[in-house]
Amino acid sequence: MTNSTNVRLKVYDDPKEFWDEVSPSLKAEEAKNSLCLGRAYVFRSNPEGCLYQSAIFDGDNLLGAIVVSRYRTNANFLPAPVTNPEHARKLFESFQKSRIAITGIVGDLETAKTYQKLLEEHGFRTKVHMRQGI
Amino acid sequence: MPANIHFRKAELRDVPTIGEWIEAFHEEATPHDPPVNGIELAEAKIKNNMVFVLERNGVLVSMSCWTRDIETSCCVNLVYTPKALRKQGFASIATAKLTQLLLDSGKSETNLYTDMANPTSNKIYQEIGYEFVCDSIHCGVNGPSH
Repeated sequence: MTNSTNVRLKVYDDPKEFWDEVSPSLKAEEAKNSLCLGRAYVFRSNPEGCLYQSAIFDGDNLLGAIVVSRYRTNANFLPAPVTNPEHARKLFESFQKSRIAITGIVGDLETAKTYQKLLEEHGFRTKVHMRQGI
Repeated sequence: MPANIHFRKAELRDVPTIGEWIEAFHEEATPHDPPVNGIELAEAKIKNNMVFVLERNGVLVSMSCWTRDIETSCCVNLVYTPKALRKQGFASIATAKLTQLLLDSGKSETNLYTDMANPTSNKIYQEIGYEFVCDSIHCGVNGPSH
């Protein structure tokens, strides 16, 4: 069980720092996290298109992460799997403070649905464009 | 692979065809996304050695591309064969050849996103050796203005 006093949320200004601190854990499931990792890898050397990055930790253990990436005229919310819905809520509510308008969520089914529910709770409308398999 | 079929890296002379195919791919596979400038994208991806093509008797018949390089792995995408040339195994060869090339270059794995509603592409990818990892969705979001 996670002791909530050890939980810390970090919003990153430096994409290289995000990569260094977050990617080692995401690489445990490289295919599942390929979108989040792929964009974060590019942003290390070219931050153009990087709109937002955050992560939540218990000590040094990653509990969840978000990358928001510009894709042409879209702003895509790319979540990595979270260990429980409360961590997703913390990440989402912190992201809301950024006032960045997103146009889509792309993620593994369970994680994307967790954030879809949070978005709808906050008055957003969502529509599934596409179901894919990785 | 038949002797008249040749797999190679795309070159700048292929930009007009690849550009047209990229636009056709997006219209077919991701109609909800903003339209792409196929020529610009083709030129950029070819310059970065990310586009590969299959030729039959010297004529382009299929393409496969790769993206999201994270050193240890990458993603195969934009697998496209024009409708008139489908059901002849071109996409399967283009995907298998590119996947092998990426693995031979040192990637420990490659991944790809496939439309779950398309049984043909799913069957092709599994025959090549891809394993299902998880379901994924793309949701459009419209929200309260800030």
